[in-house]
Amino acid sequence: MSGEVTRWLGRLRAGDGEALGHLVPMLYDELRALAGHLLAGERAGHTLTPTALVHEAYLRLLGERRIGVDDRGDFFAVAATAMRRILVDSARRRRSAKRGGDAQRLPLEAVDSWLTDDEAEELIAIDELLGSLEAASPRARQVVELRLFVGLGHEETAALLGVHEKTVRRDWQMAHAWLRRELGRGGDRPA
Amino acid sequence: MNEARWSELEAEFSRLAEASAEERRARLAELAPDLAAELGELLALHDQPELLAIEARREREGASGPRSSFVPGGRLGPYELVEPLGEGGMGEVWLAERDEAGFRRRVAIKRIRTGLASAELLRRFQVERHALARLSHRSIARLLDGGETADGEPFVVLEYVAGQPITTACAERRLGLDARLALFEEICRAVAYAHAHLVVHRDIKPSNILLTPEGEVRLLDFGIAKLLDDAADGPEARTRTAHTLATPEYASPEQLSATGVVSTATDVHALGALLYELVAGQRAFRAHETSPVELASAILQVEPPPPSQVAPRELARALRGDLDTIVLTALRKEPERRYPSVEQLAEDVARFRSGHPIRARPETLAYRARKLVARHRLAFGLGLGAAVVLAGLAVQTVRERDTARAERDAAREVTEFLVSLFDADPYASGTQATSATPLGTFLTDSESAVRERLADRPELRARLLMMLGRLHANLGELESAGKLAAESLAERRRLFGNDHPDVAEALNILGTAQQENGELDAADRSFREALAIRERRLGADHADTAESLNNLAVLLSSRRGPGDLDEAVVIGSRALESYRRRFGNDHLDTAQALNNQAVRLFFRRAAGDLEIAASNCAEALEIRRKHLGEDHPLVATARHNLANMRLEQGDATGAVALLELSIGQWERTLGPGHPRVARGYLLRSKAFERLGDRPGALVAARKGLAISVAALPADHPQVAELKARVAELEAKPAGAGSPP
Repeated sequence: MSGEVTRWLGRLRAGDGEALGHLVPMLYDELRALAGHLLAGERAGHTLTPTALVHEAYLRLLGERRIGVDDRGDFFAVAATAMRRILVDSARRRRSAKRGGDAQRLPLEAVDSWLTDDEAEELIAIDELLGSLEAASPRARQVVELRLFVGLGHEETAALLGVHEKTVRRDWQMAHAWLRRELGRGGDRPA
Repeated sequence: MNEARWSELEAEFSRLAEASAEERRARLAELAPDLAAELGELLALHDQPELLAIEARREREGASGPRSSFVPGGRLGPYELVEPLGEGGMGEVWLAERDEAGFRRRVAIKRIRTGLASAELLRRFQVERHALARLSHRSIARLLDGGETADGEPFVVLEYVAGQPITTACAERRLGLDARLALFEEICRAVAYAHAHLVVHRDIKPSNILLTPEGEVRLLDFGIAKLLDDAADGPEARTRTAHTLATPEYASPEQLSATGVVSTATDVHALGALLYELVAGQRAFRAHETSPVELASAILQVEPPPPSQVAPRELARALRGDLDTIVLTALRKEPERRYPSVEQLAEDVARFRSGHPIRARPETLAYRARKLVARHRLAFGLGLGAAVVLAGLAVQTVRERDTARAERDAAREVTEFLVSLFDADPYASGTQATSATPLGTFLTDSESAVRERLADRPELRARLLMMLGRLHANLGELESAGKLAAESLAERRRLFGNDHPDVAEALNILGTAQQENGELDAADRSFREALAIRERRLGADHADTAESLNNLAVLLSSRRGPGDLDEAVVIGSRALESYRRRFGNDHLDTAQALNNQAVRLFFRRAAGDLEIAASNCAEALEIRRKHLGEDHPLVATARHNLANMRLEQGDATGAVALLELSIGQWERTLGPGHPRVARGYLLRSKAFERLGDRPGALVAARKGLAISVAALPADHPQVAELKARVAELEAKPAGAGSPP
């Protein structure tokens, strides 16, 4: 697995458009398995932070090899996408379970009970807004994804994207205000 | 929204986010109405910060989670802490568990409390963990993982071993001499295995060697000491080591001296100290009743008594002779006169156990006499250890630049090559048992071997020639260093073209050699070319670029041609910015850059320079105090420099207060007779004079002169300056000075 991830990261960096399609599912499975595993214990005080999950996946998949800074950046970018999909899928399963009677209804998993209803609805809405954000500012979308779905701080986000921390802060403040405005408009928009 | 609109909005947004209400109103009035409306809406949201639900969730969990990580039941990533196991040198050690496919795996988590930036430590950890993960030996506890807590505190995760420190265990189980020696042999085999994998332990001591209930030995913390030393690598790294060694009883002379090189011989020394304690029941060097400074000087200078002289009487006979010789050979001050490898130490122990003659020879009387004379000139430690040092360098350099595969191949090649240089068995040659290759011969031999045998591997050859150049430079042999660097440079230009980081690396070494040789213009060209390459290829924030800026600034301020000082200030300020960005504002390297820049500004003294210089010094002082503690010569240096600035700024009272502290610190840390202490008194004399206290100024000047005369050659400028000062102050009667 480790070798495969590294190989695809190499191809991703070389501009291979297919690479992302291979990497995201790999990380998706890994991250979800980890999340389920961590939650299965149901011990008191148990928390599931996306940051811990991604770091854990990172160590499991690539930890035994020393990978370059480039790989690390790419890994986190891909992991952010995978993490977002996990959370959003989980939110959708939750929503459909609630509404019931849906033919597409998916079985609930351990990870699904982690989100509250409000969080689930918000995540689905944010996911839908990310497309518009991508069109407006691809970098701002990356910042939002790394911060919201991986839980990285400004500094680490800046290091991974290779930009100045100030830039990340600016992108984040503006994107955060914009997201909140769009979420507030949620009711007006066609569902 | 399209990109143009977003970036227009964002530019205004970031400008106005923190602006006052008036400023905002004024600016919004200037903008197109639809833009102003949208902007106003976003700014209003920004003013009423509110977390998204998912963020609020993280805040809550962050607060109850990792912040309180070091408590029973706390979590660090996948690990759950169970209970503290004890306090180690670098911080406490916790027993922790993690779920692993249904069973609970126990691990030991070591909290690392250092003044080091954890980012740097973690970066180092990523570099090292590959090498450390390869150590797979039943007697070596594995390093499993590493990370940092939410507070940014670094920790490492190690295989958990239940057991007792070897010395305690031997005493409690009342093990006999042969059983102890058998355990010691096992320990040696594990250390030798690590050496074969290019890992030196550096911190072997009883608390790092446990005996399990099953009677097996386990070595802990392999490579951790190096991790810490490397992370602190920088101008102050050397002094740090001597100051922060937690258990100096087991440190080797080269770890305590400023010029020492840590190698496999360092572990041989520590094993000698361990063997001493195992057979004699006492430590070779004891912290008992002595200060760390006294202990360090004992390790550097005092020969411990043979174990047979301190052991209980019933054991003394067994120890006298061969076992004394084995222990004292391992404990020799000069690394190259110890056992050349751990295997050979183990072998002699095995010979002793089986009743065969050992191979080490006791010191001769002639040698003892020679050593007495040369004691203060400790040789540069090289024996087989040099191979490991060199190979370590090679692996490191290759690692940072090449891909994983090339890395493995190159490392193996370098190792094989270096091992082949040391193929000859020193015992088979019939020469004196522990005579080692003198360093000069070693370098010459290595150089010709590199040239001959790597003729068809130009890249590797260039790399090794440069490393040899670096070793020559460390030894002060600048001509050879310059020649090797120039040759390596030419080779790399041919291989990689002119615009390559490896070319810059060679230029940098060449420039240093040129500068030391007094060829300042040539050094100027080398440093500038290296800087240009690094800026282009590595970027402004890279540590190597900062190094280049710093080198060029130092050169310019020492050359002092027309315009040099001005340019030195400009370059120095870029270097400082680069250190700030690279290491942060709270880092010893940044403090060094602040100090260097302050000195340049102090010399130039254009309008405003003194103020900036003083604030740089004050900042450097705070950083050093925080990281090094009060009693460190570098803290005193920062205070002294700041006093100098304050005096020039007209604040003589402030200068006197600072000098009060810095002189005392230097006296304690460097000794009362050190020339730097005299510099402190010289400055104090000037400050007193400024305050109108001529008698005080005279006392200080006389004191400084007495120290300088004793410590410096008669024609040293500091002696002359103090003499003139004393004469001048004596010429005028007390009280006839300038008004206060």
